[in-house]
Amino acid sequence: MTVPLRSLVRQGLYLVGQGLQGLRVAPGQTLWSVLLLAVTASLVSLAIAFGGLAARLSEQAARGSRVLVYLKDPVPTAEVQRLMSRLQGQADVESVTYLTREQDRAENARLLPPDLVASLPPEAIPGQHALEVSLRFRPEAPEGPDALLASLRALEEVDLVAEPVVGGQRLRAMAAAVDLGRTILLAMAVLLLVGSLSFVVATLTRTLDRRRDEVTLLRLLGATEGFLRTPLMVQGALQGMVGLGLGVLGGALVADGLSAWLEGRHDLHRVLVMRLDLALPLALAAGLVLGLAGALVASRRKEA
Amino acid sequence: MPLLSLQGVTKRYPGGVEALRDVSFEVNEGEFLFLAGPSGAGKTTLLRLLVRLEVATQGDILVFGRHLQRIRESSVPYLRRNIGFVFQDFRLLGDRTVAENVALGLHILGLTRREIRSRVEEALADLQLEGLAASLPAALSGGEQQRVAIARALVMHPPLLLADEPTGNLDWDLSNETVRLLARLNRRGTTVIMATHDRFLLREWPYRTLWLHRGALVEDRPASPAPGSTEAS
Repeated sequence: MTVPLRSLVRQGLYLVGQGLQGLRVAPGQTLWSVLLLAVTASLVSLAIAFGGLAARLSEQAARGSRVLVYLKDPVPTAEVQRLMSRLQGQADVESVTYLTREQDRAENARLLPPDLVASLPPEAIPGQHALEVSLRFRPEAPEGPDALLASLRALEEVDLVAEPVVGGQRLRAMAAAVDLGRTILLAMAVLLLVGSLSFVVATLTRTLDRRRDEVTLLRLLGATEGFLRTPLMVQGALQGMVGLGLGVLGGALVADGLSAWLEGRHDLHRVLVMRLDLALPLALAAGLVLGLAGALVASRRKEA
Repeated sequence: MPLLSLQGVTKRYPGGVEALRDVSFEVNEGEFLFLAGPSGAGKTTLLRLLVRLEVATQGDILVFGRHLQRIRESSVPYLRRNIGFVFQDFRLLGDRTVAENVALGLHILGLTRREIRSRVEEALADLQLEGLAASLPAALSGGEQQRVAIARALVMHPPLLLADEPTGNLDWDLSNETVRLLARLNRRGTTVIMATHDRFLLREWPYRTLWLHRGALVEDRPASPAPGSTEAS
């Protein structure tokens, strides 16, 4: 290492130390700003986890929404094919499969207790040719496929439209509720973020006030602007990174606890998933940017 | 070539107040110079111009051969590292020890801890402050505080030392002691410019004296040996 580089490293270490000391200038205020940032990050990370849950629920609802369209007997093959291609063109429809009488009977047999099936003659189990329509999940149409179902019921060739698998609508309702929860959490997080940002700036401004004499002296002794600003930037970055980092960890803990509780009560799995391997680095990066921005705002405010 | 030179320097503040008017003089390396005059004469403004805390409205200022009007903003800190500055009110940091106050500027230079300790010890010894290294400024007398302030400037080894009324808060004995100290530093090669309005000091220490009055340079009195004193150069 060359001598200037060494002296640069020494200066850097000294300035980091000064930044750390800055955290002690107003310890109460520093603690509050870190706490507010942590709560903000917790809310944001929970909101993201809730968003993931809402998306999964909606997807499950869509996957579970299969409709059986029983056809009148007889319907000519050409008519069935025409109906299938018409359905295939619908926005709500993922796929359409034709079920023969035998296939439908086999499906029904699977739903009955095996003992009962064994004791019955095969013709006793009902079977009717039908179209199995898988519905597509469309986030932009939260009302679901009600219109489609009504139009199917009105068709002449259709004998009966079986209701969607029980749970589809319920899952949709749950997804909507979770999504609302996520929106509320995000709104709270935004409000808190504004509050915590002004707290960070106020803390840094106070540090600048306390260091005013020192800064004047250092400037006169030949300190560059970088030398004068770095401790404040270090202080801001530390506040931001510690606050948001702790917040994400706290959010993960809450999500885990909530997941465990919901899973125990409702026989669910993977309720709230948080990718800490992604969330933590992101939080640290966001904390760094936020802290540096706070330091910049504070020093600009003092210059003005 | 002079260490610093002013040609037709005028400083006008917003609102039209003229702190300095067409001031010209030169200072050679190794000189001891008094800037004298009553309060409001422009002494402090002149010193502030020399470290570029202020910029002249008109005229040319050359320090170490560099035009302060044309110098890049990013070069100013490096210029200041060659100029020590001592205030009337000492400006010591109350929450730092004497040693920490003295070491303040050395961190800017990126020195090692050992180098910093060695320079601080040297400066404290030079100003007879060895026993006070761990004291806080509040525990010191006025004279000791001023010596710490001088040590803080000297530890940077500046070729030029500016002192703005350094004796303003001291009694006669301590004032005399402070000038004796500055004179000793001057004999070692540091160019010293000291602002004062104390006529007794000026009589006692007959160095070259620039008299300012209402922003104008009214007299440039050369150094002369004073009765009973052989210290002036």
